[in-house]
Amino acid sequence: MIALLAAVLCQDDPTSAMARVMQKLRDRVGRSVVALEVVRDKDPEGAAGSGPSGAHNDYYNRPEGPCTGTIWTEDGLILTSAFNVSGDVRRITVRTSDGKSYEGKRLGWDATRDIALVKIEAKDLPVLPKAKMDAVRQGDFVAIVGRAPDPDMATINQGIVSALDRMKSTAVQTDAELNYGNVGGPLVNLLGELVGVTCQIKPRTNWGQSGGVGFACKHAEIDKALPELKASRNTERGKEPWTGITPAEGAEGVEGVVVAQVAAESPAEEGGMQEGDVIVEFEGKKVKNWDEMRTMLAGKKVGDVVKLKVMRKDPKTGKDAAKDVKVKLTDNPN
Amino acid sequence: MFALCRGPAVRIIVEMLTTLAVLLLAQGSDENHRKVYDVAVDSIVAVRAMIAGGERSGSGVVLTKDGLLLVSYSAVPEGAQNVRVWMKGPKFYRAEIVGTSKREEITILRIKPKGDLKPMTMGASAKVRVGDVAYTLGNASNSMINNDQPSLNVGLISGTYRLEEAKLNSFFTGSVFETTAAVNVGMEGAPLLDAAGKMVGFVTLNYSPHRFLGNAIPIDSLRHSIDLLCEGKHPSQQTTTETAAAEAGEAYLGAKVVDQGGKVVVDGVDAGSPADTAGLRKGTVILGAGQKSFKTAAEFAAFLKELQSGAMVTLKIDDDGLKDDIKITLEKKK
Amino acid sequence: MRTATLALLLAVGSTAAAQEDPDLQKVQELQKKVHAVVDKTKAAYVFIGGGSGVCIDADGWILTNHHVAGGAQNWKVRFTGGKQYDAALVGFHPADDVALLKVKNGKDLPHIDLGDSDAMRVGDPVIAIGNPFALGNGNWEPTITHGIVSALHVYLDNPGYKDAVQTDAQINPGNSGGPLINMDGKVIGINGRIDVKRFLSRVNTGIGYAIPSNQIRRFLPHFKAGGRAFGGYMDGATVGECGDDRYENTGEFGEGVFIAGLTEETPAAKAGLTTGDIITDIEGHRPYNLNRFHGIVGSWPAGSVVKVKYKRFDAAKKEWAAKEAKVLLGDPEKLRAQEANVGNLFLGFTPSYDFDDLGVEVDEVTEKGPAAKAGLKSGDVIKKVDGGRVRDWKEFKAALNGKKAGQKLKLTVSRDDKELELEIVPEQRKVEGMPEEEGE
Repeated sequence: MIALLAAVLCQDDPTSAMARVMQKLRDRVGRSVVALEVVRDKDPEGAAGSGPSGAHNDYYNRPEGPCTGTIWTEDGLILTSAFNVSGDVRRITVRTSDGKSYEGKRLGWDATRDIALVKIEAKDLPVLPKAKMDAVRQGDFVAIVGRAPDPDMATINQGIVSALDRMKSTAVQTDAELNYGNVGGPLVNLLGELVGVTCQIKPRTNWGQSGGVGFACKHAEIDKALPELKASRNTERGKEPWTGITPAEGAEGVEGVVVAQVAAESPAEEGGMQEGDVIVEFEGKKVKNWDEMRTMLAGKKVGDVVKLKVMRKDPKTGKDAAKDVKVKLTDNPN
Repeated sequence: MFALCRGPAVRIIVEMLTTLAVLLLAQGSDENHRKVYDVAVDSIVAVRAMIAGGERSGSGVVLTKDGLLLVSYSAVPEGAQNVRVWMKGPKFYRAEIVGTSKREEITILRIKPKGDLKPMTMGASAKVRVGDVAYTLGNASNSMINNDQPSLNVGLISGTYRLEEAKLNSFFTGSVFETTAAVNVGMEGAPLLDAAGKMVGFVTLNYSPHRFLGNAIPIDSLRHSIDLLCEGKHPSQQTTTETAAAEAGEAYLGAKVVDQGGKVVVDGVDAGSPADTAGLRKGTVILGAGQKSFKTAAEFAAFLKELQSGAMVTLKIDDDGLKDDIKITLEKKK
Repeated sequence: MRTATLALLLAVGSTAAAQEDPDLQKVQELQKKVHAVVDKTKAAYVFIGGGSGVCIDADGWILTNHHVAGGAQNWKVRFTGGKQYDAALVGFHPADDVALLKVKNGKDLPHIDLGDSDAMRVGDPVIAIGNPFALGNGNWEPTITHGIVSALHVYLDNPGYKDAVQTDAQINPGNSGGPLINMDGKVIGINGRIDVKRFLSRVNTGIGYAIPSNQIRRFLPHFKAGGRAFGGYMDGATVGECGDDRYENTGEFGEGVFIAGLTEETPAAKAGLTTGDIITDIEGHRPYNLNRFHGIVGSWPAGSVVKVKYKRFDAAKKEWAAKEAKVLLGDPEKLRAQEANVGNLFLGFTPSYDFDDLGVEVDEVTEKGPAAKAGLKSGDVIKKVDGGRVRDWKEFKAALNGKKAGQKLKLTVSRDDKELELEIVPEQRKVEGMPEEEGE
């Protein structure tokens, strides 16, 4: 008899349990996830060419078709990422999980948190319960539910909470795959409680799509921004002069700023800078580290052209040679 | 025995069984990943072939113990030369192409193994649900060819939708299972496995520009063509016996059709006839051909009468809920 | 009877899963496991430059990739949370992309142990800790990702990952040098490379590679001794894959590699191997193709002695005879030369890595070694070698370049604000298994 019971227990392995939990989450959470069809006259944010040379053309550009939003209130406030509804928007059509369509009106957006509010006329919409923010931990199992490319079929991606405090503390980070299809959808825990609304995927972000690095604006942050969003007031990011380099921290043996990465189509890339370059002078002044350079940048304006001197290793001789580069600062897109 | 099932004995047994249950639970899904690998690994192949542009590599599975394999058309297209196969061991074989179906992205190979091979167990893709745990196992980045290591990746079935455009080296459009289990170059032709290690999908490198995740063609939609190709009966494997000088007269299809509930339904198929080799069978609904749709058997018969023997027709059929286009070459009526 | 069984089943059901949803409880158990590993290990993560590292020892030995830290001698590193320390590059292996740093005067630092990478199996869950896209810079909270071991013993060219662990836990630029950790909370690999062929963007698509902990463990003494480490190889041997039909008697494809050519007087030849032999096992690993052969020997440092199992065809008896040998990897001449160049004369003390330009601080003195005999004590700061100023370990080693064992060296040492002159006689550093040479 014990053997029989053991056999019964053995069959129900944790993998099937995980599948059932995910299916229940998708069904339950999916009711609070909508598809957004956005028709635009102009889409300045939507394309970034082909990114780092060789990247597939459509990897960085906004695809045609629906994207995702999260039902915020039962009377029709929909939260999504600001990117999803950016540009000259002519019309937004919102499809709920029961197949109904509504006309959506874009209210306000917040560029610092990358969230936006859309309003539809509806009632009794299902709203997700909220997770206790201080109970969220690194390692928590989470899922993202989306509604693209097929607005009638919810998608579900599963991962963990990778970090709690990103994007100036407005977002958590997850390794559940985030892409243009599901961004704007909810990040939920195993109980189906909302941790945040996914955001911060744009053509120029380094982390690309479905790369294991994604973000969700914490629901507490959304609540902070809500009054402005409801009042259709937009929060711009302060224009931040941007070169497009990711600096390497703490290379002590080296005086200067080591360039760890050069973002696609950034001022640095256009000025001819490369990974591995060491910036030793900023507008003729010696610069020892990133903190110093950041202070110098803060004194500049978007549109300024700055002269930098970089040291670059000559591949033939192996010796460092100095190079002068000109970089026209743009507004930080991140 | 009955006496034991009363009173304090029940509690003791319950406690024992609870401990047992906890011990079983403690194994976790770690054991399941390993189990799936063990069940499936001996049925996985890697393939490499020479085509006009150079060498292509991919993955596949064993279909029969005597050496029929299913691989991706992307790796081994029609006309490919020097087809080589690797299996875990490592074992090496030279292969010949038995047949191909480009739009389904499948190729059947034959190798001559020394002993019996272990065929891949097929699952039922009709039973697959979004949220199910899923695995991919194959020649990711040539891990099998270079290192004798089939790569195992785990994720879940994250969505189902149609791919309308064939990208990169893919030729397939149609319904797919999307998975977060990693799919990379070299994995085309690898199986998508369920939690029991059964093949429910056939990996394609085609992707959605909304998601940038891996996709697999549901195995059920390929079974018929696979069977035909293995038997040499696929339309693509027929050598046309008819010459250009076609004769007028009734073209021979070899299918008896009847009216059933307003539809044209196949009632019987002559063995060895064009209808038989094309896969028409009792119960198949013939919806139409090209722009024409057939409401009665008489309409269909009239349509056939106008055709010459040797004509190739594309019939739109409904086979048990699965809609498809079937190419049939009509023969001369004997 | 059936009613009783049913009652028992229900009783088990309600006791074993007190919540309404037993599935949820099972998944929460898995989540708990991940939490436990994260909690146990994240404090030992280290931010280094544009990448990552992990502390494996309370005294502050930090592992990372060579492409992260190999470019500079001194680093300011931060542990999770932001506490900053000075660390120096001590040993490195550029070909295999590993580097070892040491925190200056490190003590009681959070650390995690190296695990057994050979005990890992495909399908085992792992986590990666790193700093992709420098997202953790500022608040110094590293990124955790979760996946499984996808493949083992992967050989990659350029850089030469000899015996890599492949994982689908997402690794991105900035993860390099960080740990790959198993569910026991042990480091089983150092992450360093990803495959981006699928979309040609520098973003993870599910293939990441890590240098395995067992390889690193074998190299650790060489790293700690300082300078460049070299990987093993079978000197003078040309090998081919078994089953190569261009040659006779090369065995079955996959069973090993055969010796197509072997130079005389090399360690393998001296150990008894000869042309035609088929090597079927090296230290318990089967060299089933060329990549695996080079991968196995390369995962041992040059100077290691490895157990080789091979078979030789007896033409007379027409059968294979099984044989065994112990083979020194690398070229003994080069090994001896490398020692002098890298300053691996046996001095008998380990330095603490000082960057105040004052000199080399003595950390530990080996009992009965040359430093002990010279009267050197822990805490002493060596300021001059034979009258020449040495400000740090690099300059100290440079000063020793060309010096031979048995040659007296004058050390000017600062102790308790007083200056002393000590005489040290370095001894010949012994490389394990190296044959004794007459006349040295």
